[in-house]
Amino acid sequence: MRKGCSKFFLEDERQFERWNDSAIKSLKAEFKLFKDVVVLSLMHPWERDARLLKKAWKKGPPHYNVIVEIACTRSSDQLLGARKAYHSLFDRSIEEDLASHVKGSERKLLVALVSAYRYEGPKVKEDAAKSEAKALLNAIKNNNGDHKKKAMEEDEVIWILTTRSKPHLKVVYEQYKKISAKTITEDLEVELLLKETVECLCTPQTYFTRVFDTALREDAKEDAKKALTRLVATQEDVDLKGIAAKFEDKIKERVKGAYKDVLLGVLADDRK
Amino acid sequence: MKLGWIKRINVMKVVLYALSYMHHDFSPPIVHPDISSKNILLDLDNEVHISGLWHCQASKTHPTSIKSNGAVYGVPKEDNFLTRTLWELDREVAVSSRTFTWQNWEFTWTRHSGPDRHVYLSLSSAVQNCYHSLFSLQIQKEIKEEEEMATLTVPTTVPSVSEDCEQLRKAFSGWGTNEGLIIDILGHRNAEQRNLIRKTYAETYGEDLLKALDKELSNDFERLLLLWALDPAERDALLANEATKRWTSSNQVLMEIACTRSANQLLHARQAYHARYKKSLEEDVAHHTTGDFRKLLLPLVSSYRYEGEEVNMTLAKTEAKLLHEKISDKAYSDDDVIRVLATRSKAQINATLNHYKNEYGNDINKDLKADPKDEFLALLRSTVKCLVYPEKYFEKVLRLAINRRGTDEGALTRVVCTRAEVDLKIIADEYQRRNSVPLTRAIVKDTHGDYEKLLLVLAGHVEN
Repeated sequence: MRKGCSKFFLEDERQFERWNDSAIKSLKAEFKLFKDVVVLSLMHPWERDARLLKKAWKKGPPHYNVIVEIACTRSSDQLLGARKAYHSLFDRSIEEDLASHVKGSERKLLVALVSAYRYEGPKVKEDAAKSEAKALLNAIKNNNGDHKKKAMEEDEVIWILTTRSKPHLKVVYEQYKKISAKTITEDLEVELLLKETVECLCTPQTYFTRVFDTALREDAKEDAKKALTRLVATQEDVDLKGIAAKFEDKIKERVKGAYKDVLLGVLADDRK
Repeated sequence: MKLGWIKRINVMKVVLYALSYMHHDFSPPIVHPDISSKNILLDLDNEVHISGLWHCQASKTHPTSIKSNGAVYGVPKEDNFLTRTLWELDREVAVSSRTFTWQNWEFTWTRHSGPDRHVYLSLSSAVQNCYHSLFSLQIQKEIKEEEEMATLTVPTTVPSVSEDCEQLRKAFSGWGTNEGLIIDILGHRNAEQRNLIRKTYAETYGEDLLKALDKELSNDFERLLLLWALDPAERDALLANEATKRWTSSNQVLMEIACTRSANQLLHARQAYHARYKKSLEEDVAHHTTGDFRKLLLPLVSSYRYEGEEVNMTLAKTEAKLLHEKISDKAYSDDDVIRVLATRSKAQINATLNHYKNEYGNDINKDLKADPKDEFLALLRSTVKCLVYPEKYFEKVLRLAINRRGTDEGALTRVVCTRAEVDLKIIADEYQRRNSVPLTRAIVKDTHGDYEKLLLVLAGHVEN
């Protein structure tokens, strides 16, 4: 189309009819998003998770939620597979990388989360659940009083959330609600990472719905949009199908071009 | 079934994962003697199967074919419909090809004209040859090295599994038990053989061999036999579980299992723990240990270390410095100390500790001896030993177990059982070096009866 245009050079020879800079930028961006979805969905889920984990810690604290997302929403064997893939890809273990590069109060929690190999059966210990709910409540309430140590740094909190099985934690949350006026996620509004941990472990739908929502808003930032790519590409690993379907209409509305097509295509593909 | 380039790439990835699984995650490693397009089959669901393992090297188990998600599938019959289909189509003429590199492997893809339903991947012959020579030699070497460190002796011609089961059944029936026969059989079988025997025994006689053991025998001999007969992963799970219970609790055993097993062995132990106890080992350790001990043990049992030999010397320097600072400040249970010991690969830790000695003059364990009564420090020193020179650690455990007034049978049983197939020979050498007495002689002196007999068999003792 452009080649056919004979009037390439305008009046002045130095000024040719260049393409609008912003047009180039937006095309690039659109195809980058497209490429990201394609590449991510073609990868083996373990490799995908390993690469997402690496990117997340490299980019720093605002991206730690991706680590929480992966560590908590994958099954024990999937998470293990991701750790193995990480060994192969990066010649290190994810645990050592996180332990040496995450510096703040999130370190203990994040390392423990990726090291988890939870029991997956239905068996639950009622008595232990009660005392653990109490311990969590204490840790959270103390945090509200004494601002020096966050709840996510408390050893009790960490070992309960990172070693107990998901069915057991569901019971712990129920017990928590009985002894506290609110649910545990309500009480954790101040500590976002810990809240996301708790959500991803037992009610991932809440977390994913929120991420989709944020990504598809008018004023969504770059990172939020990237989350869209990530969620759609990884949806086969996690039970997202219901949620993704709900957002299809919004995707059709807000997203444009090739990116939209590929997102919808991946979603449709998975419904077969 | 159309096979575009991307689909072929995915097939290739699966093949490579499967090969990697066979080399690294399967025990003993399987070397496929003939990876070629003829042996890569696609079924109607687009699942990839690798066949042709009938005559593979270094395989002590049955030939298997690996399904694309890495799970062991089963044996395809040689006259499998798919094989034939592919063979027939093997004669098409290539119409286009391109070379493609992935992770240092070079593949040439050829696309064929003709009916849609076929796939053709050809590994360039140079790569094939290279693969065979490289991997078969390497794996043979590794297997040989492993066998040289173990003390277990298996006869060159092993009786069939059904024979073994029959003999064992005889040993249990009649008046009393024929311990000698049991020792002769089980004491000379490796883990896979023992597993097979247990399985076949259960199928033939309707009860678990180990239950039979439980009924007939008692005391130290029984425990040794029971532990020995178990699959190594189950054994570790059992030992770990005991170590979390109140009356038999032992931080040392938990640390020992976490640090002296390979990353995959520890993982298998954790899987066996799930299956046997319906909970995770991590939960139990978290629940039953406290304070500094929990701070150290929980990350240790949760670890899944990188197993490569690569070492980063700059990192070794930084971490040696860090360790030295913390130790000088007596911050023994500091987060950083624990994270280095619990997450770094064994090779990296080794390098770090070597640097520590070179730079600061003392072996790290010497610096950790500040307070001989401190139990946490003792555990920390043992952790270091287990990670970098386990044979010295085990020699000490054996020495203390034997020299005690009234032997510590628990420790003796545990070490002999868990290391007979791994490195008991090296441990025994170390024992002799330190105590001027062969381990077998010390065992003879300190134990008696069938317990002594089985210990000696497992320790590779040959009757003169």
